[in-house]
Amino acid sequence: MMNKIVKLRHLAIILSVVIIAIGMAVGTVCHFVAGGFFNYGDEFASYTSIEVTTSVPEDIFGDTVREVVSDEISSLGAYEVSFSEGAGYVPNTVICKFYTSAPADEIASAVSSIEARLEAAGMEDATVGSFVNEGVADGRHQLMFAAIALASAVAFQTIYFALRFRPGMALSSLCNQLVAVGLFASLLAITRCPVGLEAIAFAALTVVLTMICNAIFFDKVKKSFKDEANAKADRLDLIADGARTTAKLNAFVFTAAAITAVIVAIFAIIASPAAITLAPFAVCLLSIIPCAFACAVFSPASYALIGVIDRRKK
Amino acid sequence: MSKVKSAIITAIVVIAIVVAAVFGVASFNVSATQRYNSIAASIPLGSDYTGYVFTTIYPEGVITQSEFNALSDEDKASYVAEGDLYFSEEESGNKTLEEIKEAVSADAAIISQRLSERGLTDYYVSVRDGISIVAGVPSGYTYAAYKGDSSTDRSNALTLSANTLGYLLADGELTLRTSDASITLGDDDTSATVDMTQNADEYTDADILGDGSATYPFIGPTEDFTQYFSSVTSYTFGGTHVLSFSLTEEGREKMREISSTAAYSDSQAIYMCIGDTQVLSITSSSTIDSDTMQFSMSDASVAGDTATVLNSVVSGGTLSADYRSIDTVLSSTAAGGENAALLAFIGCVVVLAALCVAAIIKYKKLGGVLSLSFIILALVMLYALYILSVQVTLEVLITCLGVLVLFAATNLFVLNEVRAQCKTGKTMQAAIKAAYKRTLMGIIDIHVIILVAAILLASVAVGAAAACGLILVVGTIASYVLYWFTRFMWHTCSAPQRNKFAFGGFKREVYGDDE
Repeated sequence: MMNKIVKLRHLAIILSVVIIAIGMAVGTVCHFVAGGFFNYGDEFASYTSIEVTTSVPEDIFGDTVREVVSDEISSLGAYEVSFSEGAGYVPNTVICKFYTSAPADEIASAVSSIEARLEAAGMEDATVGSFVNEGVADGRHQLMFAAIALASAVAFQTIYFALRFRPGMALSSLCNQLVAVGLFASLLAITRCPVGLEAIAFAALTVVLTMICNAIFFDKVKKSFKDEANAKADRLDLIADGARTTAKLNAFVFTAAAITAVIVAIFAIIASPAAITLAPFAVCLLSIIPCAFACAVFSPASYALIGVIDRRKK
Repeated sequence: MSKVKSAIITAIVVIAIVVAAVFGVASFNVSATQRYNSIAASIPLGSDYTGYVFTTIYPEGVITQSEFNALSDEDKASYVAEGDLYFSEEESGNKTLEEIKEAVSADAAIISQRLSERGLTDYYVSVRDGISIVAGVPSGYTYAAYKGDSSTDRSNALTLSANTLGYLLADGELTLRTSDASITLGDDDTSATVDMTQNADEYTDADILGDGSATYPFIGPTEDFTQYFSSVTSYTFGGTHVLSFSLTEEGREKMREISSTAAYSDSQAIYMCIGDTQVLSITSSSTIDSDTMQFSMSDASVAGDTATVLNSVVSGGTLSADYRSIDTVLSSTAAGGENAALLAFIGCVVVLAALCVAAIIKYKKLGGVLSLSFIILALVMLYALYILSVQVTLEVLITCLGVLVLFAATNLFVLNEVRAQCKTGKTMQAAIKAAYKRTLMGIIDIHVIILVAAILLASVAVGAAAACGLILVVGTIASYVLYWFTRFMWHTCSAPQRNKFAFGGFKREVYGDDE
């Protein structure tokens, strides 16, 4: 397998570039026709909401109002229902969020029904309204500073690898990082997975995971190069061998990371079965896939190509 | 190592882990009125687990349905419905609906930028029905506060979040004010008296100080104060929270003038305000003459809020519409469901248990030693989250679990090498020694690179990424220390065992001569 990747290194690199290019193209098209390069999620999304506010001391925990609202909106597919309280538990507000695709007439009908039932329950002062909320997306500040931090970290890694390993390995690891982050952005754009502020932190996870696997791979290859027993072995064979021996460890890292995300996701779904709960976990899994690709496929392929600049001691 | 020594060391380690785990995760009633909230229950949580604190701000002339219902028929006549809100051109200072919509849209972008620059782990801003703004920040409750087991924590967190919203949603221009209507410059009869009332503006009677007194700006409304400040930042050093102003050359001159005037006033106070919100009170007993001004603040959150909103305003980020005061701040249930925090904790325990079980299956008794290290690492991160007051969000949680995976990977890295060394026919001790020696540089590479990346993230990034960086710093150091601790415990626990290979599930290559 690894021999094939090394032999077909040009294809592996072209494949990576093509996937990134497709992602960028999809994102660019969506920027003009679908409201954004990414599909901005939860915090930044626009939604319609039904809000019920009461100030009834007998219902300080909002049991009655929650029950009424739950009955009336159960068939409408609210993606988030939250109960809010002010200081001293008054006023109470139940907020039900709907994607803007929720039918307006059904929402209006639910508002009327809730109003009528609360009035019948003696909550005449309750106010029920439906609102259109236009999300305002602005994660530029977070993105800019995280990008500066990660760029600095990648620069450090490149210098460290150049000093500790070989210049070609440093250059290859830099390419791996660019491909991993590029693939992550492309996958987010292609899959239209709802993106929130968590994507920035998961981009950092992508970079860190790729760093770990790069370090393991190049450590192995460097040792193979130095080993006198391999003095006459072909450079490409040693790279393939290094990739093969580290594949198990890399597979463990990515599988364990993915299983961890899935386990936490399962418990998150138990806590709130709404589909929107899954979005951050989908982003998390999408951050692991590019690392796995970059480390298992791109890393040996790119080093097989770039590594010619590294001299071996014969 | 003797059996007794081995047993004593193992017992001490296990007891320490059990004690740390009990205090780490178990909450219990100490008496009828007192409760011990565990470390896990005392860590501030993000919006995923404890929800948001949010508010809605309405421009002058915009009212809610309940406010509209309370009006007389005559007053209702001036209002038009806009969605479920009502707008009156007359009450808004003769601004049209379109003008208000435009102003609100622009202001929402400014508020969003302020919240972004504040470095919160999460926030949201949305324009409601085109004419009001809803903004939410994480409540920052601990689990104990969220569940009502610590009313003090809940009240403190709610106050901090409400303050953040109050500051970051402040509208109006920046002014420096005094409560003195006149200030006599000097102590003798020939001293000149400055009449501050001539600078009176729209906020003079706004009860900025909360005691009913009027305030007057030091300089007239025609002068743009923002030109005097180049930036405002906050930082914490040695437990002191500092708000730091960088002044322009003109700003230094102006502050010298204002502070020397304020020093002669009865109150000796300079109130820094944004609109009718007082953001800073400066006691000026002498002339301030420096390129920078630094003030000690009560806590990091207030310093951060003040710096962010002042920085926004001095950079031209002033809200263009006049908004009514914030009257209600609400705290919502967790975005991820009411029991999201508890279930996330259970999820983490399951991951930890899965790692321990996998280790035991693969490495037999050595897996038990590895499990001890996994549990210690988990406890280290739990206590680190508490001590560093890192707000736990999904990203932070995944990072913590990622550190566990990193630790597992480094051990797998070395144990694979041990297995390979065993196959060369070496004794267990020789195989361990050779494997640790061969993998040492690789392990150091991994930890050094991650540590530097984590330090950069923690110090440069903001919000959840910075929190992830901070916990990654702790986790990486702990992972490296525990890597050696695992070897020590391996040596300690395997000492009484006769078959050292069977202890770790390894097999030694047996050569013909050995048989």
